[in-house]
Parts: sequence; C-alpha cells; structure tokens
Amino acid sequence: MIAVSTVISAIALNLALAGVEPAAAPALNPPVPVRAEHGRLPRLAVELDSGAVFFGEEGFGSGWKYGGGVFFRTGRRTGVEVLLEKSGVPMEAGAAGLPGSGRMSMTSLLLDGQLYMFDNGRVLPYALAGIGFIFIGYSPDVPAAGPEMDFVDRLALQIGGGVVYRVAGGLSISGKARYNLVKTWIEELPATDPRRDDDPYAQNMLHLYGLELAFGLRFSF
Amino acid sequence: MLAAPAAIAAFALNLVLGLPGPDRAPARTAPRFTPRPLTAAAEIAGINFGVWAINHYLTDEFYSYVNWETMWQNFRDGWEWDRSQFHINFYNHPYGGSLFFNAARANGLGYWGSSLATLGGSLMWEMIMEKYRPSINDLVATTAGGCVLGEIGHRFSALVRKSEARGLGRIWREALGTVLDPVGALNRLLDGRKDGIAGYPGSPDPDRLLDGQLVVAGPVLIRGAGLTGTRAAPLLGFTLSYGDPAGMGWAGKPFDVFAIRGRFRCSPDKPQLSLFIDGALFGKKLPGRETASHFLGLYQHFEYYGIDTMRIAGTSFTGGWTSRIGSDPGLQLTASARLGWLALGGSDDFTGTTGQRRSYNMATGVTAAAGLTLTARGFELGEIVWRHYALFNLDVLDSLAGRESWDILQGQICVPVRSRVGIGLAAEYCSRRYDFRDLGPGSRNAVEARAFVVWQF
Repeated sequence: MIAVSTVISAIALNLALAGVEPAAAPALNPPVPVRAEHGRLPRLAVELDSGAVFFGEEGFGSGWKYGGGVFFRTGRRTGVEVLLEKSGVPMEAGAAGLPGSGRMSMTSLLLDGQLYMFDNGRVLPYALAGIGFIFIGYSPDVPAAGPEMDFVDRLALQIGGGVVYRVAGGLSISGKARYNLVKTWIEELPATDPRRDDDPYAQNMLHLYGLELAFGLRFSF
Repeated sequence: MLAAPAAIAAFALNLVLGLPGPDRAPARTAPRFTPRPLTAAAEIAGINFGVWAINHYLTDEFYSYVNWETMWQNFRDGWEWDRSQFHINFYNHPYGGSLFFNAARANGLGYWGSSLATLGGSLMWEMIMEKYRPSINDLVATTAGGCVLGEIGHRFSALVRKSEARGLGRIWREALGTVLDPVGALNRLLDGRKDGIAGYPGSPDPDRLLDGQLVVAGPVLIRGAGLTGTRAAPLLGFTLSYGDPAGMGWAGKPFDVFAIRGRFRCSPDKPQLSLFIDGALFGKKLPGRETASHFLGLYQHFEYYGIDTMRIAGTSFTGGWTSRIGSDPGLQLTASARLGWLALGGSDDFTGTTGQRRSYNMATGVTAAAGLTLTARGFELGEIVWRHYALFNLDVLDSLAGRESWDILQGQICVPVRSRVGIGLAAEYCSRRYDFRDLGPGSRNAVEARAFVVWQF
C-alpha cells in the first residue's frame, strides 16, 4: 500500500507541477536557473487525429472526421500546421434545398497558425486560426432523375484551440476544438466557367459552420 | 504563397543595393537587428487573409467568394483594368499596400526590399484573394502608392516615438505611432519594443528635421459659379516637410526628404481628402554660395486631389530640384520645380451615367510642378504652388479615351499674429481642359478663396 500511495502521490505531484520549471540545480557561482526542456515546442511534429464534427445548418447531422498534419515551430510560442482532413455527415431530405436525403463529405487542406500560451511545459494549450481550401462533395442516398448536384468548393477560415500533453519522449496526446466557417451553396453540374460569373447573392447560401472535436497523437522530432 | 518569394527576393535586393533599415551605423559590439524576410512574407500573407476574412464574413463582399477554381481561372484568364470606385482604387489600394510595405519595413527590410515585398503582397491579393480577374491598375496603385504611404508612416511613427517616454507620454506616442504604422506597432508589441537594438525597425528617430503648419480655414469668401459645395464648411489642412526639402536632411536613403500637403474639405457629397506627397528616392546636395542650399533629386509622388466634383489622382516619378536662398532668422526664399512621368492617373468622369461602376478615366501622362515659398524669422509669409498634369486617357473599359490638361494653382499669404500663430488668405484655381474622342473638346474651371488661421512649427 505504501508503494501504491507513493506512486499516486508522485503522479499527483507531477500533474500539479506540469508546466512548472523545476528548482534550479545547485550551483556555486553564479546560480544559473535550469529550464526544463521537456514539453518544449518541437521544431517538427506529425499529428494524427480523429473525432466528431457537428453542423448547425438545418438538416445536417453529425459525423466523424479524421486527418493528419505536419507541425513546424516558427517562434518560441508560435507554429504552423499544414493539415489534410476528411469528414462526412448525413443530410436529411430538404437540407440545402435538396429533395432527397444524402451525404456531404468535406476534404480540407488547411494552414493553421498556432499561438501557444507557454513555450515550455508538459501541458501546452494554444489558440489557432487557419485558412484553407474546403472541397465539399455531395452524394444522394437515391440517385435523382434530374441534373447532378454538388456543393461549390470554398476558401474558408478555421478558428479554435487545443492542448498538447507530453506523455513521454517525442510522444504527446492532443485535443482540439475547431470551428470551420464555410459559406457555400449547392449547384447544378456542370459548374459555371468562369467561376467568377457566379452571383453569390442569388444563391441559397449555406453557412456550414461546423464544430470539430478531435483527439490525436503527436510525434515530435 | 506569392508573398514569400517576393519577400525573399526583396531581402536579396536589399542586400545587393546595400539598403537596410533606416538606422545604420551601430557600435560594433551592440546587438543588431537581423532582417526577417520570411516573417515579413508571413505577415503580408496574414494581412491578405485578414482583409479577405473581413470582406467575406463581416461585409459579405461579392468578390470574396473565392476557391481554387477562381484562383486557377485568374491565372488562366490574365489581367484586366478594373472598375472599382475612385477612392477604392486611388486611396484604399495604396493604403492596403502601405500595410504590406510596413510589414516588410517592420521586419528590417529597406525601402527597395519593402517595395518588392509590397509588389508580392499585391500580386497575392490580385491573383488569389479576389474572384475578379487580376487588375493592372490595382497592382500599380497598391505597389507605388503603398510604398509612399508606407514609408512616410514608418518614418513619422519613428519620429513620434521616444525611448525615454514613460507613462501617459509613452502611451500617446505609441498610440499615435500605431495609427501611423499599425503593422510596425504590432511587431513592436510582439517583439517587446527592443529600441536598444541597433537598427530595430521603428525605433525612435528624434534627430530628423520636421517643419510644418496646420491650417483651419473658415467659410468660402469667393467661389466660381461652377462649384456646388457648401460655403459654410470649414477646411482643415496641413503641410509637413520632413528632412528639409533643400536637402539638409538627406543621408542617401529614399524618403530622407519628403513633403506632404493634405487637407479635408467638404465637397457636395462628402468630406474630401486631398494629398500631395513627394519624396526623394535619389538625390544629391549641391554646394551653394554662403547661405544658399540646393538639392537635385529623383522623386516619387502620390497625388489625390479634389475640389468640388473635380478629382484627379495618381502616382508619378519626377526629376527636379529645390533651392533655398537666405538664412534663418532672416528672409528665406525656397524654390522648387519637378518634371516627370505620371505612371498611372485617374480623372473623374463627369459624363458618367448612372449604373456605371467606374466614374473616372484611366490615364498615363506627364506631370510638372513648381513652387515658391517666402519665409521670415522661420515664419512662412507666402507660398504659391502650380501643378500640371497632361493626361493621355487610356482606351479601356468605361474610360473616356482622349487627352486632358489639368492646372492647379494654390497660393496663400499670411502674417504672424502671436508666436507661431498667424492669419491669412488662401486661393485656389483648378482648370481642366479636355478633348475626348467621343465628346470633343471642352473645359471646366473652379476657383475658391478662404481666410484661415495657421499654426506653424
């Protein structure tokens, strides 16, 4: 029992001190504080994550997302991450003005800027803002007799935050909450060419503002 | 994106031309600021993304609905002359360019490097951030105008800041510096204001010469019959002369010497801004006899003028000289002349019909200017300035092809009343003669006189 309580105490102490610098190593002249290197932002990291996505637009359900990214440190507390993600949600009949039910898929190629609260520690919370290409697809559950329909792809913003918890060595677990801000509409194919001739004000505008919650693993190098 | 290679190229150009930031010659042992071209590129891209986000999510602009197809089609379909409104193309675009320029300046690039970075930022915006085809006139106005507005903002913000300022003094100085150079101020904030580092961009620059005057003019005294604005509207004007136009402050870097003449004036529809800015890109001080000083230079101009419904704007490059004869505190006479190329100009289209988006003509042409100023005991007693624009209007969509000739004559006399405060009379005459291909010849004129109060410093 003593051993178990000791381990629990050690874990509790470790969590309590997460992100706190350890005491300076004894030195004679002059005393130089030693910064903990654990949890420091890596120069390069690969992250894989998965989670759920929810859309506020009427008739759109929730679904799963998965993806991965490469993180580069750009400053003491800043970094950028290039992400490739995919998600899909069911659509009820009537959603986006479509007669039948179907499924919307979203593939995103994003560039996220990340601003970390601390530059060192086991736990590293951060805020993010990103921009990227959102490729949106539509597939009806039952193929309709009319013209083929599809969503118009968009450039869109993403804002949110996350936290990285270093488990050991170069391995961390991560959690993210992000909000995608896609404004688009559904169109008959073939698409307009040139695309600039589209009049967005004449469309049934869909605000596909989706909340993504994801957990993943980050491998630092 | 497009801004990144531009900023790197800008940095390389900067090194080749040997023109780093405004502050050189530090002590050898002092820490020196290292230029950050990649950070500049990232900030320029960030500015574009930020402006796009405002346009897309807050103001829901038509042109903000972009995707990879619009970007690819912009590259495919190439350049055009756009049809945005006068103030958008000749003021908003240059202001946007000044943010690009200052992002580069704030990261240690010099004038020429920052100019190239501004070009990169403008290219990025035109090619991928709007769904319209890329616009030639926007690229020119953003880049050329952005360099002028950006450099004067950068210079003035450094003039306003003071290292030893504390408390309220520091707050207002940094706040004013932020208005003049917002991107530079943001960088100072993120960097933690490192004024102690040699060459740190935006560091206080207290040794520059700055003369100027602030004018408040009352109701109109005399007005031409063709003018339609209100007679009661006050006018606020200012003149700033940085680094001495006769070359005393010239240290060999672009815009070591520049002058701004601006005013807010009530036009029939809304307050109207006029700005004449000219800065020396290259120059040489010439030896003069005893109390005389002369300066020969190649200048870059930003011009945005309006009186009533007559408007002209543009960006030009001229060669010219400025001479000053006499010594302070005695009588001093300053004379200047310029002649050069109006690279891109715009003049209002008074024949424009409702529904046309563009209400002005695109032009290129020749520009000339001359000025004479008389000063006694450091107080400016009188001044007369003449500007001429010979426009060759381009045969592009919604522009009236043909030729125009503009002459703007501005003069004032004033007497000191108390210390640096004086009263005076100012008169302005604007003449526009035109010969449009589809309308034939004609002319319009405007004349106005006002009484004013001036504070000179």
